Amino acid sequence: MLTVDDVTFLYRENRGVASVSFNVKAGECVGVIGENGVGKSTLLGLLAAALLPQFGTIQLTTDAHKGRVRRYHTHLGIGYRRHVGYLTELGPAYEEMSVFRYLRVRACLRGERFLRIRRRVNEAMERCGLTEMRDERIGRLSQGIRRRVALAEAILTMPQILILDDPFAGIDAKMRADFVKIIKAIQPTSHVIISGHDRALLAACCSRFILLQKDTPGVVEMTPQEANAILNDTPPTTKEQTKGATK
Amino acid sequence: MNPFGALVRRESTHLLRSAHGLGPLLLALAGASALFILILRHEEGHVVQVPALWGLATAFGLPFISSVAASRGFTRDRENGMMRLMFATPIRARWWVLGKVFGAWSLSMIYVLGMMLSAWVFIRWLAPEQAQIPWTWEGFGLATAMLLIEALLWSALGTLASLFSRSSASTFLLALMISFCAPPMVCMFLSTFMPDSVSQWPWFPLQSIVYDCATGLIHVRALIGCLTASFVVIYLAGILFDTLRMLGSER
Repeated sequence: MLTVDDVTFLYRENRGVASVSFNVKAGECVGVIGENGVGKSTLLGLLAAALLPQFGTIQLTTDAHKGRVRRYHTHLGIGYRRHVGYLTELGPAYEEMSVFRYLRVRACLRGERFLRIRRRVNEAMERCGLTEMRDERIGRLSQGIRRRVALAEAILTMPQILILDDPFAGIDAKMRADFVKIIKAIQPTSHVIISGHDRALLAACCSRFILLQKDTPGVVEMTPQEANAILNDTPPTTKEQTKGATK
Repeated sequence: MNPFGALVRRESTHLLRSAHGLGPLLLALAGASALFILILRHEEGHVVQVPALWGLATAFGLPFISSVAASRGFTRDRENGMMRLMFATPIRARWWVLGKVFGAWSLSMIYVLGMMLSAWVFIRWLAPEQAQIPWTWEGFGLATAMLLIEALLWSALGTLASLFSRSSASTFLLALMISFCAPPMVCMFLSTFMPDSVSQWPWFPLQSIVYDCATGLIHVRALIGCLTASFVVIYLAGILFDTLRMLGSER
């Protein structure tokens, strides 16, 4: 169980998130929605422990180890971060490296056991359809394929918490469908949290939604139907805008 | 392969393959070699202390190569958004900093070894047969070790500078400033504790102490001072890294 308890992170201009509380059960996929600038990426950064909450706590409770309950906090040590897979908004990678080498280095940095690294990297590449371009330099790949590499990096160690910040941005329809399949394959063993604006894709992945609102502390929990109504009103994603422009 | 080993290997390989790593290295090697030859020509006809002059020439390029190579460390990651991912990786701040420092330090090591090769070639083949050059392998080794410890300090300072800015150009300038201003500042700082070396007041303080490569005498206080300063700078860089994580300024 991932527990977010009264978490606040405000920037200087009072933007950010305030008094956010919710839970995510294992095997559940939660969508984070809201207008641009309401703090979706900040919330996801907090859940990934890339940011530290100014107030409140984020806790992961697991009972995977022989029925023994273990608790990990984002602000205590690196234990929590061992269980996190994070696809950031920009999806960066070391461009001078080949896909295989980059994933191998990242697996190593994320504390994967030496004997498992090769297997994990091969699995991630296979899931994300990167096997054929394993020796390609990341800097020479297209933006969409780089996004795949970033997703492969996020799922590399089969994390218990998978955080995907706008994973469907800037990729084509086929790749989007592939991404949904990958997320669905990971979901049964993980706590998955996705942000984005694409209603169809979010609805395909998420069983529950969280709405962040401007100048309003806390979050509103929603069913997929309620979220669908909200998402219908929000502006389309970059891809949809491009489609509209060409029409 | 442990995480720290992977980090150092990645950083050093990247520096060696990139223009901002190789460029300063070649520049520093060329400058130091030219200086070495210049000093030797100037000293012609005198009792030439080749190892000491070699040390002086090598130390000349050391702050430049170390701090400039290290200055791209975190700046590059801040530019391409890698910092956010680094914050979420289960590695402590000090290991990230040490990885960057040792990556740049390995480049300095290549520089010092390259200069050592030039001295060896000179002593073995180019020096006149009747010349008595006072040197021993042990003395040379100790002088090299001192130079490398000095390089560790400059690399740490360059890495610290890279945490201050998101622009490569400004970090490059900051690193250049460090490489030119920090040596006399360190010298002044050391001279407050070691007044006997004030009279020499060289630009590269540690070289005045490891002068005699024939005996390999080393001033232990200078060695400890340099090592302590390196650890302090690395510690500060770790704190700054964690501060950036708390501020949430990285996308």
